[in-house]
Amino acid sequence: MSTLQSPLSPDDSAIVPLDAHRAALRVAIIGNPNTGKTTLFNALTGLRQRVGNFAGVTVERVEGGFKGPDGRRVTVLDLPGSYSLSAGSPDEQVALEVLLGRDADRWRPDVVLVVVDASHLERNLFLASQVIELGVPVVIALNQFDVAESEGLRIDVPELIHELGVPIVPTVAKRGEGLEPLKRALTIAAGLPAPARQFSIPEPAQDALLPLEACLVADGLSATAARMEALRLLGMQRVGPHLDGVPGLADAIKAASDELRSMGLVPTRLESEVRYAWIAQVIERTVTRARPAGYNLSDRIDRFALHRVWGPLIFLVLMMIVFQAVFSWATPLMDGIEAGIAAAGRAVGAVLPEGDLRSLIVDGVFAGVGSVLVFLPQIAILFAFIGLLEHSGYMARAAFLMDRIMRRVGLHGKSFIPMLSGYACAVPGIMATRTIEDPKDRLATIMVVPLMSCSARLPVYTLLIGAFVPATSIFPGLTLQGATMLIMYLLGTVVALAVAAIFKRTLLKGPVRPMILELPPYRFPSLESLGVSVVQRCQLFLQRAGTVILALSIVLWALATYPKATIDASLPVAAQQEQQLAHSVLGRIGHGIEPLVRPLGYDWKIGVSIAASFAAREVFVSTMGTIYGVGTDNEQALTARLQSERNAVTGKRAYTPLIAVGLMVFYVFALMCISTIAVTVREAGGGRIGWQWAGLQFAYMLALAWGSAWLVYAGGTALGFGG
Amino acid sequence: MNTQLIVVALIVASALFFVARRAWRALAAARKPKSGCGSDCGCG
Repeated sequence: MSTLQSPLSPDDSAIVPLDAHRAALRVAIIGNPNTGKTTLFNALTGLRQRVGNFAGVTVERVEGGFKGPDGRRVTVLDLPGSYSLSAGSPDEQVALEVLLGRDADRWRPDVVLVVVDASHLERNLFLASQVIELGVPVVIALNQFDVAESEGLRIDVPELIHELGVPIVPTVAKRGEGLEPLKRALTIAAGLPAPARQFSIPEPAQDALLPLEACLVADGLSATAARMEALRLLGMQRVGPHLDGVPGLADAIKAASDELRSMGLVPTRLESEVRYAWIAQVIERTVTRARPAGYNLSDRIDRFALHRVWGPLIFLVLMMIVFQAVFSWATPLMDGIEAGIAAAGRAVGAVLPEGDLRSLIVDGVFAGVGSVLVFLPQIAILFAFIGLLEHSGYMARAAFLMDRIMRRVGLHGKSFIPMLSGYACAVPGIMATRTIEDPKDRLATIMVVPLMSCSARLPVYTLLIGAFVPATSIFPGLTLQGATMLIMYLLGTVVALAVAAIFKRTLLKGPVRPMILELPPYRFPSLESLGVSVVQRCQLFLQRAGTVILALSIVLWALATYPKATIDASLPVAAQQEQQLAHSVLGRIGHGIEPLVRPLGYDWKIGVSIAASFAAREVFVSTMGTIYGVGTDNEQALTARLQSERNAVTGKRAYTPLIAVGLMVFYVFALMCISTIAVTVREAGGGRIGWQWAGLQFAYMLALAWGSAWLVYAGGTALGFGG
Repeated sequence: MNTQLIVVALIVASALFFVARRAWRALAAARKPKSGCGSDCGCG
């Protein structure tokens, strides 16, 4: 065992920086998933990165910074969570490449901050000890120290510092405790000597590893890092991308493995056996349990939340509450915003002289953007609930409940977290697939994530449900509107699983792997972080409304206004509008694509709104607002206009509940997002292969959308629901 | 051509340019192996 002196104690306040005049200090944060790395990153840097009480929230490297105690700028890089440096999945690969200084896009860190969950020290020390052996200066943040104490764990921190040979600082990141000592520790750690390996491996095994280590040292690794890498490579039995091109490495791994086997050792288990044996000794010397471990509150809740029958039922009830609240609670706020926008439109309209500019502002901007802005309260309520479920730790239970279904489908249980992220937006959902090790599982998940109903679909669902589904109570506290919304979300999820099953049995055939899922303890969500995530979501929604939706509304207004028709002034206002629209570019495009949407029961106005929403789904609502001139002198809200709209030719209602349901189903399945296509291209391998997968995704989703909408309309009409 | 029409033409042209640029930047993100979505897609 090492006899290194403790370089720093947590309460050491008399630290003199070794090299205060150096340029910025670069710190990389790594740790097991769900140890509070991003909370600590946010606390250190003052940034607002997304956090959650489940594994796999961070899948990208994020950079921030703060001013160190010595006045130096400290740049901090938050790396994705990782259980070890085995680099099984793309996000673990990212972490390893940065730590080894082999990421061409990033700097090599001066100090690595390993965030360790104090209440799960044994498991967390595996990664920590691997990082220590890389030879880079390390500081350990013993995070969630309060949780460990509340569970009766007593950690002898000075003894742990002595055992590991690196500075260790207890922290409670969510309350900002321990930050100042941590900052001081980071500042001095760069000047400390690299600690030696803390455990030994059997002597004959050491000799067997020497040629392999020599290979790695020749490639530029330090002797300590080469030893750690050699053990890791034996465990993986393959060369990772970061070591591609090291001459003779694959042969050296094979030779070392053969020699170890001849000694009766198992090369793949060598590292975990010796490392965990050493960790067990460290724990014995440094941790005492004040009271025996027993059932805690989380265990008691989980007896119901994870129950075979009660678990899914609780999940369903929670979802019902969420979607019902989206309707019931948002209505007064929506009415307020709607009235405000209408009043502003009238005020601006009264000031501007009659003409094209007035029409652009009132009929284009106010009618288009205003009809989307109305949905802000619903976005806020939906994300408040999602945040509540994420921060409390329930999302991990939802993933656990889904694992059985996922396995039946042929997907890895880990796929459910990216799918859950897809409820907010498909882009981070697709990026979250980086936590999946198997490339086929990962690709199958990427292909179905956009089927999860993202927040951009919410305005479309809400508009149509609000206009055509009655608020009839079907259950105490649940109306038909809330239930319809829930069905739309469930429909996307169920079809995503079915499509994944098809991919896994055809193009992406492969074995099903078991999932090891860490269930975090339930926590009372911090109102501050919950508020921050809701505000961030609302800001994004407003930003989108003020940029993309605004620009598209202006373009669509121009298409609906020009060329000008010779209007018969004797006609009623509605007929005059109809005449102008039919003569405009938008009308001509609409009539051109009408044959494609007529089988679905849609007129050209719906057709052109769908076509426009391929730029962004919410544009369906703003196009409707522009087409019907909502917000002008006509005081009718968009909902009321849709309800009263008549087909110009047949005189029948243009929108029926059946058409509305068909439209919603179309939006559940259609891929209408350029950003999602771009991310699929990149994450599916980039280049030609990436484009092929993205093309397949777009095509199958469009076919599914059209086919399902047709089935709803044709089937419903045949059953007599057409009126 | 009256003044209102000129102002409208300028606004519409700017909006068209903005939409085209945004679409181009979103698609360009497909070529950057380690970046995010490339534009404010709403993903947060």
